[in-house]
Amino acid sequence: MSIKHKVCLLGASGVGKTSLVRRFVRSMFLEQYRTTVGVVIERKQVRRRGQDVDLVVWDLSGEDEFQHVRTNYVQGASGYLLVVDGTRASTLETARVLQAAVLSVVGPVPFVLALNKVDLIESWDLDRRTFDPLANAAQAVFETSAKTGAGVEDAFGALVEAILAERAAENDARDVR
Amino acid sequence: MARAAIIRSSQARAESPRASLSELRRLVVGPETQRLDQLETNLGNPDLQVEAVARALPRAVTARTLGDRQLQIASEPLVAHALHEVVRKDPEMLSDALFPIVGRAVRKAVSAAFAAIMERLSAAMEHTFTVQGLRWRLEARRCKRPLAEVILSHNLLFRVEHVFLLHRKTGLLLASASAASASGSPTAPDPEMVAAMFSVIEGFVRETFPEREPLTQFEVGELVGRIEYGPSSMLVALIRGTAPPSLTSELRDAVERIELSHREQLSGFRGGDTEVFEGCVPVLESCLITRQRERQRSSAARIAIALLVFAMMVLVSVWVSASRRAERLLQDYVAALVSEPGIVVTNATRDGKRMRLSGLRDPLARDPTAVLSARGLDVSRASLQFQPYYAPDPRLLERRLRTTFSPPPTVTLAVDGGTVSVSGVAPREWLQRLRMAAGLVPGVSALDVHAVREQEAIAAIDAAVPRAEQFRFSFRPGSAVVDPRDAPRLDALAQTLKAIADDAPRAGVTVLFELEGHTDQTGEESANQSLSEARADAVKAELLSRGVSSATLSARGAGVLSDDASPDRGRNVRSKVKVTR
Repeated sequence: MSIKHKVCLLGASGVGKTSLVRRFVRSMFLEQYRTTVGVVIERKQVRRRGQDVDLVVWDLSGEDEFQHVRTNYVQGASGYLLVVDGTRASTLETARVLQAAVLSVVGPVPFVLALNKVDLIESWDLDRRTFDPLANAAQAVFETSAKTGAGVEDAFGALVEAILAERAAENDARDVR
Repeated sequence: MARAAIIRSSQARAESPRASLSELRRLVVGPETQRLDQLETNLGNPDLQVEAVARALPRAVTARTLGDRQLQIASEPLVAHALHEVVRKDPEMLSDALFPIVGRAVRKAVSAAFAAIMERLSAAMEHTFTVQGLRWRLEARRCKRPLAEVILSHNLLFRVEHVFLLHRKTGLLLASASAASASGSPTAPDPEMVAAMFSVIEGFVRETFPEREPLTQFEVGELVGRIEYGPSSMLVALIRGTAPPSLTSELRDAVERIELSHREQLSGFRGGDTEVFEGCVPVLESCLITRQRERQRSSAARIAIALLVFAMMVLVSVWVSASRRAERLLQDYVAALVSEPGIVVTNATRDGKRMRLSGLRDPLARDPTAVLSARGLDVSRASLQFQPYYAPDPRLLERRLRTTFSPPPTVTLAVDGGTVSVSGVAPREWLQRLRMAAGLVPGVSALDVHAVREQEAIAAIDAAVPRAEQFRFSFRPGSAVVDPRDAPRLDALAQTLKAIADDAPRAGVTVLFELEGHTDQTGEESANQSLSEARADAVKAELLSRGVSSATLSARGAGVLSDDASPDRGRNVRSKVKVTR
């Protein structure tokens, strides 16, 4: 049995998306690939609920997050990791805009909010009024650090778990019908 | 009161006949009236009308269509408009509906056209007779294929190494197949990553050029990727070599089959289990086509071919080295000739072992055969043809001047650029000839003769100087007045001096004339000195008056000259000439 899911990594420039995914998987593609087409793809196999799940991680360039999310790139994603830089409140606002944009393209698929740079937690600066609604919409919120590796595996794990749970619930509902 | 009773009574009378008429009508035409009422109600009810028309319409359409074309003509704009609306509102729906048949229809048309080309090619090939051609012809007959198709298939060399089935929306790999030899190779790509990469690139191209056709082909090193699209999936084939156009139709056919057999699974896929697409693998594997040009040959034939190739290579290398040697030799001949002043080679070719050399040669240049012999080259192998011309080579100029003017041995010629310098002693007539004609010699731009001495002028001066020095003019005692009887001799001296002065530049010498005045022994010494000076000055004045140049003439008093033997006892003026080169 082969389970595959496309997940996206979204967030403002410089929040540490690429560093997070590098922590999670071995890097495969060259950086110039991103500068050309705006995305780097990584692959990681994780084991959840007794089955191997192939994750194809689309690390989207954060350069044009306000202009438009490339719909081609988020289309078909089973879930996504929304990354915020804890030291920059503006990235939380960007995350909110991105989440709304993705919601309109792929619908209400699970997402996990990663508050990155927990190693610099003393200089964090987040606005609760923006944070709370986003955190409530997310399946889970994790404090992560690409530098120390803290929370990275957990965040991706939670995302996979949420995707599998959603699919299982769908299957149950279908069986009942 | 009475009035009311009357009215009531007349009403009763009137009602009674109306009711009876109505009753009568009900009895007579009651059923018809009911049917009329029913018809009226039916006519007012649109639902019933629809039912009626629906029942009659098929038959009506059939009847009308059989009758004439009016109905078709009338419905054409309606149908066209409806189609147009569908295409405008939801082009996907129409393209999805047409997708399974369009491919087949186009392929049918293309294969018909291709078959026609094959026919023509076959006809052309019928007349070529080679062993290979014969073998292909037999194969064509055996397989019942057009000859041209057999030839084409033998000349194509390609291999489909990987085929990927991708889900268009998620970019996920659904199934893949690789050729046995390709999958084991160290460069085999990770299908999952390759699939994602295709998906990204395809999406990128689609977004960047939305008006253009989607990406259908790309190259990665020596691999060519072909992409075929279905409504929900795309098939990517990685091909090594040059694939024929027919491969495209194979791939398209595969996509269509997969789309037909997995339509629901493909359109509903949102990530997750891909096992349902395992059934597509045989279809993908059918696309792993390999065409090889090389055919098995017997080992004897291989050895024979190898020997033949080797022998040809030896022959070619011998021929090449001989050709190079001959070429070098020809270059040696040319180099020897052009190093000689006055020889120009305009054409040099080889004709077997003979060299053909032609060009221009100055008559004063050395004989080309002598030049070649001097360099140790075999003159008998060269065929030489040279036309005469005048070479402006400075090395030939001196030779040309000597030939033209035959200078006497006392003359030296020097050539510097175009300037000819002459020095030494030369006869006047020769010099005149040189002055007149030197400018006509090609290459001469200037003639410098200032250092040449004229032979006749030297002889004339040599003869005139002793004559001039013989002159002596006597004076009476105490007098510094020239004797009038000396006038003819003064004339003669003046003439001689002028002739010497004239000849001096041409003889390359400078001359100075000196008049030396003297007295006899009588008188005081100081008076005698003055007298001697006065006498010299007097003769000088006479000579100046006769045209001798003051620049070359000087006078000096030498005082007493003790010369008792002479008739004038030293009272005289003598003429002296100094010649310096």
